Amino acid sequence: MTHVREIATVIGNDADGDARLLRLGAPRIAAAARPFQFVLAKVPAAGFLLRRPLSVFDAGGDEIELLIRPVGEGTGRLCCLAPGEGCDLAGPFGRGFDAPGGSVFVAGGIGIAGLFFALATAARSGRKAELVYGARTAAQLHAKRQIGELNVDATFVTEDGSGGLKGLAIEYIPGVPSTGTKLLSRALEEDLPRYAKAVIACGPRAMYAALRKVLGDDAQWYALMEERMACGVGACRSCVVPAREPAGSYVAVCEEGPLVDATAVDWDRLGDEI
Amino acid sequence: MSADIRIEAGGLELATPVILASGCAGYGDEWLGLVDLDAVGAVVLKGVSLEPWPGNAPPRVAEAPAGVINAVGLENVGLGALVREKLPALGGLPCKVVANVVGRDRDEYRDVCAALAAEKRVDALELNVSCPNVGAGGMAFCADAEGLRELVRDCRDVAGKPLWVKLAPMVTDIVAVARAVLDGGADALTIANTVPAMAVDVDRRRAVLGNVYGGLSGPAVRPINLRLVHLVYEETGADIIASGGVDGWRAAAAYILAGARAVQVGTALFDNPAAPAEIAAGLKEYVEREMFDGLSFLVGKLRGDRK
Repeated sequence: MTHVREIATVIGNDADGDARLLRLGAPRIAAAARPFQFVLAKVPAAGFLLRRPLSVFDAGGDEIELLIRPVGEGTGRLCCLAPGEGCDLAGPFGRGFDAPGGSVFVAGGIGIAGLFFALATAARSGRKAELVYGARTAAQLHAKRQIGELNVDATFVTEDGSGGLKGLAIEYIPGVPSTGTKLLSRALEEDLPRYAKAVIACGPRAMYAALRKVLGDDAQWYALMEERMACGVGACRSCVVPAREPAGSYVAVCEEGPLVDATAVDWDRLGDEI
Repeated sequence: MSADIRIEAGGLELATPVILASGCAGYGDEWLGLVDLDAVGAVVLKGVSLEPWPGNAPPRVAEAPAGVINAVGLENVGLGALVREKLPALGGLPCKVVANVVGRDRDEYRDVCAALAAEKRVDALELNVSCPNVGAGGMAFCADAEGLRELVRDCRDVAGKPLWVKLAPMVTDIVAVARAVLDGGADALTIANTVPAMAVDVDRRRAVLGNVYGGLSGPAVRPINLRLVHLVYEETGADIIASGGVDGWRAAAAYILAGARAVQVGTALFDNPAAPAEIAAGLKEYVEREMFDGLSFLVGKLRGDRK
């Protein structure tokens, strides 16, 4: 696997709800990046020794985009990068691949950052894809314009009803009759539950806990994992999540993820933080 | 003429005094593409035990002021997988390979050393008797100089190659610990492992690390370890490999002037994977500028005595 370090040039920095969408000139990373992969961005200030892992929101030509929510001081500084400034990136890291046709993407809040590239790649190559995207409020529903430009079946949901339908994303997953009743008529048009093909999710741990209940123990689904990270290359074993087999073991998000087979994760040991 | 920064340290001829530190350097080849291994004298592999260890519950890493706190807990693939899968992949590395050995007791350390003695790709062994993140073994060994001497002697008897011992920084008398280790037959001392530490997330009222406690590394510990290196060098004259916050050539030169023969780079890799190459280049220029015949002439050459 080839990783590169590249001083990217900030081309654009636009508000998107409570997040920022950074457009960066980064030819080498743009050429190598695949869906689900991420970069490690150096915080543009002294005293930050750990780069911040950020999903490649989209990539094409010589450019990549990063959708960043300022959750702490490091991401806050990255969100302040102005056009013309440099941004020290390394990557792309993690396993990248195209989602199979018919995938159902389930995003929660800033989790769209981890899924958009795969969704867009599927749509641009004519593969069928669906998106169910939930957030607390409309300000946390991101990339609505970019999603709108894709030929995908997208459902927007907010907990307070300020954007799209009211409720939780998991209530609207097509093909899950037990809870997806709000779209049941659509689900019944399919011969098979569509989630049997692939549910690919990125969101908070609470959303994953709810998904487990909704999909049941037998469902095959995939979760994009987030953990505190250091090296990105599989060397330090910092960014692990508990694995079911062998008992007591861990998988490194940077090396084996960030998208992992959710049935292989030991959710009970993971807890519901983040 | 390019200055000579080759140096003999701990029984190895190193092409440069820059060594990748155990833990951060993985199994030697993960950083290919980001780290220039031609600028590196040796890579110290992740600590290995007889059987695989799972490591600690996440989160395993936290940022600290001028440092990083980790509690990985010596997750490793175990001796068998290291020998079967990891070492054969290192044939093409342009630098020396040092295996780092961990264990729960003396027998385990000795058995791992004995097995690695036969491995041609391993040029030296480093005993980790100083990890702050494991219950059994780890830094508890450094609290008992007599027991440590016996452990090192056991390993010395079977190692069949240069033996380094990585010490803990937080001990009552590091000179006594160093003397015991040298008595046991160590060729070099690595000074030092991480400093026991902790981070708290006040918003969640929780310890950040799954293990609650971890080990602090990075520039925050450099002044502490610089003193330890100087103290042990003055008192013992031993070969010392310095570790702790080496993030540039000035930090490396400071350790060398204090008495180290080589330096380990760990945490700096996360921030700046070019650090090893920059350090090697910077040391070359320094040696040239100061017109020394080679880097080894700088070891321990601080001007003035302690008042």
